[in-house]
Amino acid sequence: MGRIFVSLVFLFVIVGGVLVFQATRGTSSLVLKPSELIGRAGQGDLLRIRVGGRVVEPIEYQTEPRMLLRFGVEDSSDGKGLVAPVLFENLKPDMFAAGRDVLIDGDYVGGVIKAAKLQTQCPSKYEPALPGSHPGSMVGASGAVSQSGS
Amino acid sequence: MWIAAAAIMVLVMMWFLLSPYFEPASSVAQSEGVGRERLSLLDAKERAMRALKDLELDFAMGKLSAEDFEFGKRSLTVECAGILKELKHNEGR
Amino acid sequence: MAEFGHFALCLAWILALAGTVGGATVGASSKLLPSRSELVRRLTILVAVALGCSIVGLGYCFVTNDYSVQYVWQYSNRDMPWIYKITAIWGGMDGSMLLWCLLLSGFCALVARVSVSYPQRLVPWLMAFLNSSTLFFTTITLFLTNPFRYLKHQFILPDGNGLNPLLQNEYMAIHPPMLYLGFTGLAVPYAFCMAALASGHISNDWIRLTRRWTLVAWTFLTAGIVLGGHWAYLELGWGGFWAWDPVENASFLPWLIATAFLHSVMIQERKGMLKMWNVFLIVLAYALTVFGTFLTRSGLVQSVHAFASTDIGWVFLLYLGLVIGGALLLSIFRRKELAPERSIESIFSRETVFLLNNLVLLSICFAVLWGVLFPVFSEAVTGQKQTVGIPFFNAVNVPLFLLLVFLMGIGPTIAWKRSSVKQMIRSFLAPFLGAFLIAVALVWAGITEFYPILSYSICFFVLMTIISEVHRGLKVQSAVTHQVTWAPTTFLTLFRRQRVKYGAHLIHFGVLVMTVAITASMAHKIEREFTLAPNGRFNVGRFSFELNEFHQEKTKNYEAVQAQVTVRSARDDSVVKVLAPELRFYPKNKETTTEVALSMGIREDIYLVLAGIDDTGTKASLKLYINPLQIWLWYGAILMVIGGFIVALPVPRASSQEAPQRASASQVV
Repeated sequence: MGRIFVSLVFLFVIVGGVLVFQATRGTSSLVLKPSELIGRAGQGDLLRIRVGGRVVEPIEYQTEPRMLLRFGVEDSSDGKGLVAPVLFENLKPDMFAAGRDVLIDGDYVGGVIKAAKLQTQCPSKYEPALPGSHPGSMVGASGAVSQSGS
Repeated sequence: MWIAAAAIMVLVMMWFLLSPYFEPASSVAQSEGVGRERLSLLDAKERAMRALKDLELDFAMGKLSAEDFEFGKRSLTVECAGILKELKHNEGR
Repeated sequence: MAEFGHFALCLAWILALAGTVGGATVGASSKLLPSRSELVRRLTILVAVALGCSIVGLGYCFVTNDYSVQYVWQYSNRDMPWIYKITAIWGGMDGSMLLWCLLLSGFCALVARVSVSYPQRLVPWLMAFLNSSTLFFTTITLFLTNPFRYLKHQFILPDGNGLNPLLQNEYMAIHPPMLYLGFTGLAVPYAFCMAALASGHISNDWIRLTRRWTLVAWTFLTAGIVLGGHWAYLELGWGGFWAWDPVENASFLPWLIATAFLHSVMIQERKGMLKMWNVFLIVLAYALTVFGTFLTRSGLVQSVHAFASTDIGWVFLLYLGLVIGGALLLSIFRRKELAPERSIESIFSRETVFLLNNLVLLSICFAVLWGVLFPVFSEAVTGQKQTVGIPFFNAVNVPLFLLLVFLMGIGPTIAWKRSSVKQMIRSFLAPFLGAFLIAVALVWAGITEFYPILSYSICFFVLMTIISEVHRGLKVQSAVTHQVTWAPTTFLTLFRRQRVKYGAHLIHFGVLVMTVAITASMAHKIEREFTLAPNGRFNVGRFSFELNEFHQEKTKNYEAVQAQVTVRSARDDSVVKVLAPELRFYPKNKETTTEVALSMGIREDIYLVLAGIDDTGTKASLKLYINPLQIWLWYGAILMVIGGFIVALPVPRASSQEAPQRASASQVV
């Protein structure tokens, strides 16, 4: 290996490392569930958080005089009735509805999540519940088909 | 119906796989053994020729000074001659 | 026909297994029998045929509304136009894996087809590694994400659930296949590399052959990524095209490494250096495509984009371990053959600049990877999950990208081996002064932010170097053929004679155009929200917006309301365009979606979204984005793709006269 090669690699590791470290420190946000957020109530505001959860009613959406979307989120797996209120001052994203999973980036101020960015599930994730399906019921190559006819 | 389709598929595939065995023996010429050494010499020759071409192009496009070009050309020519000599020697063996 | 599809899939699995084992056996045997090589080649082609039959089987189920198949029920319904029934084949995870297998095996079959002229010692191993890749993905499809599963239900359901409305879009027909072509194409260079290591045939041959295949994959990947961005831009209604989502990053990571390889491979071809480095890059690029698939299908990181999380993650990790471990072992075994033949002579040489380019690309790759995996790392280390978003990626990648673009101006202009400072000043003084003047002009015009100024200046610098390169080339050419320097015929002759070089310049020019467009859209984007009553007006910048009326529409698939908005020039009130943003309701899926109305222009895009209609049904709430120079992003990408294909075109026979000699020379090594 030539000297030039080694010194360049070394230089890049240092510069890249510093760049990544600085950017991480300056921009990283805590990932919390709605229930964890509520558990921290009274401990002051939290800046830069990401909350993933399920949308619950009531959903309020107004477009006048400015766009405003108000809703609640609970834990996706088991809500336990702990709902964190969310405020999003922007256009309601497509596919947004109660029962959908969302990702919220923003701040937790005064007991409300002020969302700067709100993302609904992307198309490819959208998979409906199956009516009485049994995972693993395969079609057999031999023709032994696990299908219930009508 | 699907069983018929599957059977046809399998038959066609079998034919495709086995057909070369029914044809007259293929005439892929097997060259006599050429060593790794020769191969790397061929590579080196190719590289040196290419470097000469690059050098000439770089000079023609004004990316090199006359001295750099002369120096580069001389050293590459010597290198080329060396490789060709070795190749010839290798061939003789 | 589900049975037929499933049978064909099983057959493909068996054939791929036979191809892998057979290829390795033939490759490892001391005497190379052409008939056995041919058999392995034919097996490889048959894998693609079987997978083709399998996907036809699935397609048939979709077209004939066979809702006894779970996957068909999930992603199709009777009212969907037939074209979406076809594209629904890859609308979910199971079918998309099948498509992946098909495209991958298609590449393998193509390689098998043309491999007759390849060094024969390489071929059996090449087939073995290609088939091993197909084998892995068919294993996943067959045993874990089988799209031919039946829906277990008392009776066959009368109608399906239907494809998500956001996927009922013509881009669905082209974006995923393009992207997958890019991903799967990267298996070819990987297989070449491993075959070279396994067979010991480590000469310039494999690297030369690999370069073209990598270029093809790279071009498809570029097209796929940009098409995805274009689709997001048109469909998702947030006015942007890239959000550094893990899934987007998953496609971007292999692209970065493939780009790095396409540059460093030139150094290996010419100087016999960086052999180990290139092996590393190729294996990394392939591993990253596998990793990307793992990322989007394992639920490892939170993404709105990911497929439903499944438990197939461990299989991917296992395979990833095999790929990396195998490559590591083989490169250690062949370390002597992979030793560099010489080292870089001068810091002022094209080799150094290419190396720098590699390091920048690798830095970007690792920064993005770090960003994607940061939630996993942070949780492992601190116990508290943290994440990074767009600001992180921009903070790290913007400076690195600008450095990369800058190097793009230096690299092609500097000489191989060594260049003198005097020569460099001669080459770069004028472009540098030009860039400086541009910076001054921009400040004078009122732009104060640092990065936009830097970006435009660098772009100008690179543009000047490209023009000067072309000019010098034309001068040399015209001196030889006695033509006029800037005549189109001289240009054509030059382009034909040095197709690869000027194709690369075209790609670089495309990158420049894209960089300018991205800078403009990041720095000067306008975003407004407003509500319009009938005949009400709202002014933004050079435009004025006026609501005319609402239109209602009902199709079999959805109901829609359109707001007709006239866009006028604020200066002379002339009509620029009538836009009709739309709200759609899909009753079957109970989804409301917005359809963006877009006016693309050379100066800017007007991007209008209908956010809602008030209770009286007379007022429209609108969201407006004015994206300057946006269209140039897509034009730049088109140039890159055209350039990619130009460079990837086969070399005419005459210039590769040595090839047959080498091919036969390498038959028995």
